[in-house]
Amino acid sequence: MKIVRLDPVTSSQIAAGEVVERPASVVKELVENALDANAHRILVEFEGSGLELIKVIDDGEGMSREDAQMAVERFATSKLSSIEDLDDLSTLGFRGEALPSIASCSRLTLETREASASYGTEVIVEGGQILSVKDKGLPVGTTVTVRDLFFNTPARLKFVKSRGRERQAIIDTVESLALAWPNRYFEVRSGGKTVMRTSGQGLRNVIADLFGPETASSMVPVSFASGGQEPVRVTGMVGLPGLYRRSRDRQVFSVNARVVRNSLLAWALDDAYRGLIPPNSYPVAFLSVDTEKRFVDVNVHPTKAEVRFRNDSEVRHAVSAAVSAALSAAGFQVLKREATGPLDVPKSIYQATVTGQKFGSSRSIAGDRPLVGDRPLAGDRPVRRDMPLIDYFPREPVHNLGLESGEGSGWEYLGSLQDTYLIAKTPNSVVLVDKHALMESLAYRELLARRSGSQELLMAETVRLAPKEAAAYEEYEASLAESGYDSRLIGESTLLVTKVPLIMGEPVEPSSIRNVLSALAEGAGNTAPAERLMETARIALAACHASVRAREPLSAREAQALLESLYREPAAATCPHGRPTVKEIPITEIDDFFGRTSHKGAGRI
Amino acid sequence: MKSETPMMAQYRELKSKNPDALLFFRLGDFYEMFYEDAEIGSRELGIALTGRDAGGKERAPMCGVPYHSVDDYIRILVEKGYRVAICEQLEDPSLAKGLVKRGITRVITPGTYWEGTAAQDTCYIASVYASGRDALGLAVCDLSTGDVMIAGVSPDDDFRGAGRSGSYGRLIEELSRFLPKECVLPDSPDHALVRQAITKALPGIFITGHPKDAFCLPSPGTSPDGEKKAPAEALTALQGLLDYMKTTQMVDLRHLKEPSLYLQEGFLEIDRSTRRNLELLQRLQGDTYGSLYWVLNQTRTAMGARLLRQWIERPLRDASRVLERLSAVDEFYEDAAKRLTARDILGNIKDLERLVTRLTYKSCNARDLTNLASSLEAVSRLRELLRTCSSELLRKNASAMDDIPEAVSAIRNTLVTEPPLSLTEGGLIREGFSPEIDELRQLASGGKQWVLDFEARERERTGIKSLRVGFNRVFGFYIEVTRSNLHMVPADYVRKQTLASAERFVTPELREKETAILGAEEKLRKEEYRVFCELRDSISAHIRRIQKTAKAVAEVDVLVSFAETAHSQGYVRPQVSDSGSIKIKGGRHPVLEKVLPQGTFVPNDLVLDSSQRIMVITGPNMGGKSTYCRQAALIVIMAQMGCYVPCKEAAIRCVDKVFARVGAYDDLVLGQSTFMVEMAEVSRILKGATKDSLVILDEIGRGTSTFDGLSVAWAVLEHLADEKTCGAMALVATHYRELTLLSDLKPGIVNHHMAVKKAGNDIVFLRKLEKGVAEGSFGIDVAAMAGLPPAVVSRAREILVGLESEVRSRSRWKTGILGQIASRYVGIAPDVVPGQEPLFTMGQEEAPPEDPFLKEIVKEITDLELDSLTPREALNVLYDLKNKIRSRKET
Repeated sequence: MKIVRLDPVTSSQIAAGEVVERPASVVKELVENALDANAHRILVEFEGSGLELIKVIDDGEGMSREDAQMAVERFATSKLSSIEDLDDLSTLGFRGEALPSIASCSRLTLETREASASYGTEVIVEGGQILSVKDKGLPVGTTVTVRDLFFNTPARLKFVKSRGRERQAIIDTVESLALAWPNRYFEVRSGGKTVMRTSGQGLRNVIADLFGPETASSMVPVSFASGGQEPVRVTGMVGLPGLYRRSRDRQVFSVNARVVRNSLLAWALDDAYRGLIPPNSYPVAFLSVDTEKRFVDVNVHPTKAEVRFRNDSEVRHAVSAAVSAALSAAGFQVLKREATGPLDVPKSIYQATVTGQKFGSSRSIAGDRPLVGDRPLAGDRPVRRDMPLIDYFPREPVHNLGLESGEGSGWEYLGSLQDTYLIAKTPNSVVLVDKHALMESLAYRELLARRSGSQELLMAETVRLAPKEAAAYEEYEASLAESGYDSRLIGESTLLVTKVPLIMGEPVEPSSIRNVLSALAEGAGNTAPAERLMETARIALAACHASVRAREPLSAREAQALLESLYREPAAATCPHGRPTVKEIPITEIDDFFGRTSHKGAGRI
Repeated sequence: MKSETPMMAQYRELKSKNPDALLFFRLGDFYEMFYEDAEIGSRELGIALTGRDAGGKERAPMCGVPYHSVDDYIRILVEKGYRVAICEQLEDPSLAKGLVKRGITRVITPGTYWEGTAAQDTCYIASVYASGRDALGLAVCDLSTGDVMIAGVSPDDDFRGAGRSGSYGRLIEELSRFLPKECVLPDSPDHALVRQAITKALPGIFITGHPKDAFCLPSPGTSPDGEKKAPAEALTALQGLLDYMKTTQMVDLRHLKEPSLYLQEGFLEIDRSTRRNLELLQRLQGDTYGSLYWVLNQTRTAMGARLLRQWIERPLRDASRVLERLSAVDEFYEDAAKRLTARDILGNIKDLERLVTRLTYKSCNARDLTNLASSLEAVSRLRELLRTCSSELLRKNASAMDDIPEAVSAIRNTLVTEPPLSLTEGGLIREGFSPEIDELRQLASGGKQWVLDFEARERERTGIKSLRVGFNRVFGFYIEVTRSNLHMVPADYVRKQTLASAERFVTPELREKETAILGAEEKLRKEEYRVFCELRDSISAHIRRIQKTAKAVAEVDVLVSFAETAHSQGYVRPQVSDSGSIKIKGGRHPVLEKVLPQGTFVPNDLVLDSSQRIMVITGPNMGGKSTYCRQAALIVIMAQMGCYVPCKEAAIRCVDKVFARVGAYDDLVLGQSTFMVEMAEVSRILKGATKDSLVILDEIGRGTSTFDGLSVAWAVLEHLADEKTCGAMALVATHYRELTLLSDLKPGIVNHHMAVKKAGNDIVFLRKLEKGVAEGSFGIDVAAMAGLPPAVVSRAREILVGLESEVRSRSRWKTGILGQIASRYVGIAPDVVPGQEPLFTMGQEEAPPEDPFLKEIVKEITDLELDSLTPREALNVLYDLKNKIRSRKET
């Protein structure tokens, strides 16, 4: 493809601000260039925050010697000859600004070779000045190496965030592109290690590569074309309702193969999931929208990250319909107001057809992002297959529940579910409580506030310790005593316990001292401060208490008492591990689901 | 003189049983060596030499190592080639009456010390038996995995390499394939020659003699009988080896698998030098990094890693079997979820083969067994996953996987979830499993009631209300009384320990009870150990099943690893067939492309078919010739392994052998010159290569004078190219541009070169293969780039010009090859065919003919006085001249 210089008129008409804001934008531009060159394997290497080094290596079409030189000159592009061509755009990088912009503020090396040539060219540029152009033996494709970004424009360094944030931004950028181009191979390396890799074998496999096999199997394919002379095509994959998240962090939209942000598409997606997921939650979705190029205005933003549609209502409708169709094929139905035919009885809310998804999501290649909620649960807590699959946990406590002044909570215990969950109703919602988790949470709070006491045992009990625990005993005697135990050794590994702590008014099992010892031995390390030891001990104690108590069925009275405790102590809605202990479903949501108009003013929480 | 102490007598007796091994004599917490052994031990291990009273006049020299770190010391000694006999105390010393009974429990030899090798490595021990008929039998065993292989080396294999005679050459080749650490030979004079041959060729192997009568044919019924009848010598060698191992290991080696008859058929043959030259398993310097194995190894289990090495050493021969593997790899390549899940599960499977070995040696601990249980549970999940696959090979492996539920439940029911490492400290057995153990536990901890009662009693008796009874590891049970109450302490309290604010006492009653309770503890530990041993022995019954499963898991692991590497390195699936040609598009060197920075390796195509069977490649060093040749071989090997290959497209026809002669590494240590070694290798190649083989020759003919080297290279190439004598496919990289003439003379030989471009004073290596002969060899340019001083460089250029012009000035009348070569070299008219001598070159430039006859004729003509000749005489002169010429032609 020949590169020609744009005439000044054209170039000024489309000139727009800076394209190069930060390392991630450099990566985006270079990778998009590679995609335009039909590359099938794209490797991104970077060091530090990307400022020191970014390298993008592709196996695409490459450039001739002349083209390589012109490519680093401002306002030259192979992709556009005049403003009329804008309408007919089929490539991603048309402004010809990216490479020269990058070259002008870095030390850039461009190595490229065309398939028809037997050798390639190396162009070295520093701060916009071409230093050398040489012949070089190279494989077909292009490698762009960017060093010392912003070395000559220190002002721009101010906008570069911390190393960790930039690094994450780079990975996110490539991830989005990988999802938008699922038939290309992408790999990101840093510090000699591979931090992200997708195999390029279709969207499902790419999702498996990025988010794990379980997530991939909770997604359903989308394939839809609207009617009419110029159809809008929507393809991709969307997650089953159980995969909802707290933000749009797992949504990627691309329009005519360009990754974009567009509120219209986001809302259309939300429409399709209304009622299937809780409010303030967002589904997982990777969608591609293809429509006539002339309906899409790409010149909205310098980084081309935003677009405007000229046929917005068609697009919105198409996306909604596409996603709805996909979901209903999987058994979920958003009931429309106008019933058009016999209704399929929907499966129960939140039911998913996935086998054994673990709490939290797994990543096949570790990034810097911490996994949410991957610490082990207290006690045995197997995941039930037919229960809600929660992928993300609310960080702030659940809203205050049905606050009435003074007296009791005004809640009513209705019954228990599978002996694990309590169901209660409040004046305007239904509440589900995880019995075990709540008990643990309350116990922990009590210990924290030092509200509990201890109790002498009527009959001193012996507890046999495992070797590890016995070894730990001598070290942590003090912490044990502070926790409310009184004990001493009467054998190499036999402990005599004479006093145990009280939790919620009940003495813990003497054998719980083993769990506490175990937790201390494991969690403490060599030099843990005393408070942390205490914390560890408390959590272990709380867990023990809960394990034992939760095994027994509660009487209605006990259950109600538990609810009252929760009411009095709203912070207990989150257990010490960060997991929720209670789930509230407002009546308005239930109304929506069934298609009834909400009861306005009924004290929406 | 005092008589020898009984213990030293015991020592001597035991020592006499294994006089050539260092005796580690267990004495308390140490293993001691005495007399000469002590001196050796002290010197080799760097530990102090002391002495001990042995009853004689002088003290006996002694040195020892602590028992808990004995393995490190054993390893050092074994690596140096020593044998170590371990002598243990056979009874509890506290219970012994008089001298503690002792006995030798194992003789550790270099080939049997499998504990000293890393999990991915093998530890082979071999034995050789030569029957009178000059037929040889070879048996090889790896104690760490239980693999046993036998082979017969027939005298028909005529294999004369330098310094080797008779059929030993083939034996050496086989031995070097395994590189055993030890080789056992019958202790008889008729094996002296074999012993010599092995020592000379493979000096790193320790040779051990074993009584000849152990080498006999096994009685019918006891020997394994495969479908193919194993040669008698091989079975005899095996018997000898088994006997030797029995004698030294003193353990029932139940984990030894059925011997497999080791044959080359069915596999792609790669000899030792080729393996080394291509750096398949390790680089020439010896480390794994940078070898083909290093690139391909993405296995998750140790068994898989070992199997991968085997597959690299012995790729397949038949396209159908290769396709079987490829379709298995396909399934994991296409489906990311399947691949990720499989790798996940495989990561949970431990080294089952070594575990089995530890079971056999009774050296496994509780953790090993729980690891076995969790590995088997993972196997079950893996099998589930494989059942969803459609590949035959994967399904076969799935059905071979046995997750032995009985073993898993036995282990889970008996042992606690996370047992301690030690077997003698208790804490192993799950509660509820054994009533005796539970009872003993109760007893040991049940001091509780008694302690409380005792405490209460003492409080009453003494009136000390704050009296406490406690326990401490160092002092045992005690009665603790605070300072303020000390005056109330009764007489029978014996003070044991003083604290800041209290004193601690004991009483006889307390002591007694302590013994009982601690006694119960002791009994408890012993009982737990016994139960553990029972469990261990019951699991041993499943050894065969575990081994079978291990093999299946290993295979799946390697196949998944192939798929994983294919992704990360960008390989494609090769088309494989039994006949046809080799065509590679955009081929790359699998190791270099990974080691070099991304985006720098230049791919190249390759075609070897009926019209182009031999490629002669010229060009400067550093231009990429060697890389190109080696990558061709590596790609073919990878394809025949069932692996994807590094290129854009590949159609590979299966070859029977791959030979690679690469000039760098030579056995100078063995006292052979470079050229000698090279010729030995080349002759082996010429003998072994067939029309189905692939030969790589990189720079042959170096190491001797130019003309000799060139002549040999020329003749070798002709031989290779000739279908009657060889007809193999070959890549020949050479600095002899003369060899390019061969393309005109022999069909199927095509010249290529690595492209190079001049850019001013520099040359740019394009690393692209192109047809035709290289323009010059750019040697001086390379030297200049390397930094040769400019004065030297310009002088060299002068000399080159001189040489070239000298060649130019030598006339074209020079006949024979050299003339052609010379003129070809400097680009003068190339169209003279050797063997035809030019008679005339009148009318061209240069000098008059030097041929005397012609001179004569010319003189005769010149001397003619035409004025004095009649027409008739003139005709006669012409007649004469013509006759002369004709008769000259006829002579």
